[in-house]
Amino acid sequence: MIIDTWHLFNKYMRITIRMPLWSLFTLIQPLIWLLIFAQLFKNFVQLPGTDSNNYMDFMIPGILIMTVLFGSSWSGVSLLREITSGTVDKMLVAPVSRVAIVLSRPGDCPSHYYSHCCVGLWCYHYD
Amino acid sequence: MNNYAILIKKLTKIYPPKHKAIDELDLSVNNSEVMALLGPNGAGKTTTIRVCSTLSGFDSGQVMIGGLDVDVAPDKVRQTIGVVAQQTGIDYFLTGRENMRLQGHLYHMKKNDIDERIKELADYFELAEQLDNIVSTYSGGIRRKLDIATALIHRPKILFLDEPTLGLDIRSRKVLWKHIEELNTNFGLTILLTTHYLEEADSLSDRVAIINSGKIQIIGTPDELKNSIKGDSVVISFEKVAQNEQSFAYLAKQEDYIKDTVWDGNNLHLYVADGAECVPKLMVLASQNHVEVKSLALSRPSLDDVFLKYTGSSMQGAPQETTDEWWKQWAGKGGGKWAGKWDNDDNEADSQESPTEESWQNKQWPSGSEEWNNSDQSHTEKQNNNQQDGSWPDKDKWGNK
Repeated sequence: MIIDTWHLFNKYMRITIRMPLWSLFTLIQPLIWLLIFAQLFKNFVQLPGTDSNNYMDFMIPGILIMTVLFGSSWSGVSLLREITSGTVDKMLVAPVSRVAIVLSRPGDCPSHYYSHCCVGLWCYHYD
Repeated sequence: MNNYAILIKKLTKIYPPKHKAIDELDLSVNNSEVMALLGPNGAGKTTTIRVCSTLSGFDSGQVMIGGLDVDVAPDKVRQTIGVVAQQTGIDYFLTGRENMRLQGHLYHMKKNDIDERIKELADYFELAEQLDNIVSTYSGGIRRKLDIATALIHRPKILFLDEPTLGLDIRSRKVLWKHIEELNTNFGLTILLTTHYLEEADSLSDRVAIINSGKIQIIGTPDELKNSIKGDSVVISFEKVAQNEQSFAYLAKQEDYIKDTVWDGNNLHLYVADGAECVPKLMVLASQNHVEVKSLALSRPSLDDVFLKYTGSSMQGAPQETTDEWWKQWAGKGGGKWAGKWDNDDNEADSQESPTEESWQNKQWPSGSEEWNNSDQSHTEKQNNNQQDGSWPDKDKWGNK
């Protein structure tokens, strides 16, 4: 199962590397949200009833959750693409571990997963 | 039992809630034999292949592939078979070599072995030049060849080909035929292929099974099947099919020199012992009944005639395939608790649309047809004629309102 996962993960990584612009976009997107909304709503904390003095305390967890949700849903979308294009059938006729097909997914849109790290780092830097 | 590469006993597969895709199908394919499954769209060819290749579950029956039960040892079965699905299963973003290598890895082959095999297959299918290009730059014919090559990477004994030459031009088709034939003769591969093309079944296969509504109608070598229709076939085309033509067909059937008649749209197929002798007689009969004959053709029976006889519709007039949603193909045994709900939703949606092909087959008037009947009386009359005779109505008449 682990070897199967590795081979499939490798395949997805190759595809990702071949489309650098796509990865770049998914990396930049959460940062854009962060910049736009942080500037737009930064005075939100001055409303009465908010405890914190720093809008980033609201913003960063929100963006993190959003990237996690988007990232996982994109994995699902790309699995769907593979099912409709017939490549999953090609895997299923081979005696490959069924679990590996699902486990290797993070290789497909890795930039989503790395964008979490990116936002995390940014957050660390900010603090 | 081991004499058979593929042995299917009383296989039944039901797509919930009640569509029987395969209905107690029995089929046996000998070792090193090429068997063609021939049938109209929706006959159950692809479903049969999916069940045999462990992609789909089934409801009852037994399927043995290379002496192994697909239900008991699916992984062992997968090791012995190669599958080329209707859709190309190769990844467009990878190169040909990467595709083949991945497939080799999925079959747990050794690295050296994979490289050796890729070279072998690339030489065989004349792919060596394109092997390191991205697949999305390939032409359809090369993609197909690569698809077959990837299916052969683990040296399977049995190969399933689901419409291997679909959408290819004649030249690529001929090349592919040659390859498939050589795979069988040189390497003793057992091949089960489905096809729409009668000439493909005729030239490639050792035996042909004609399948319709989930059942094998007849099975035999192409020559046997053609001989089963003795004599010649006469095809008479009419401008339109009205009362006169219907009565002409009825009268013709009463004559002793005519063995059988089959309607196919505006064409009447007549099977006779001696074609040359009966053509003048038919012309006389036609003029007596005031029937205008558009054209008349006399021919030796082809597989198309065999097909017509056993399925009641010719390949050309076959209704379009309504491809199932992907989740239904995966529904397997029983189909899970949501499958029924999805189907009901679909049916509700269908009933609101214009009449479908299916409603023709069931010979039921669609619910919304009354309003339409009033608007076009002449068409309705024609259809009523067809309806009474139980013959296959021409589907164009729906469209041309």
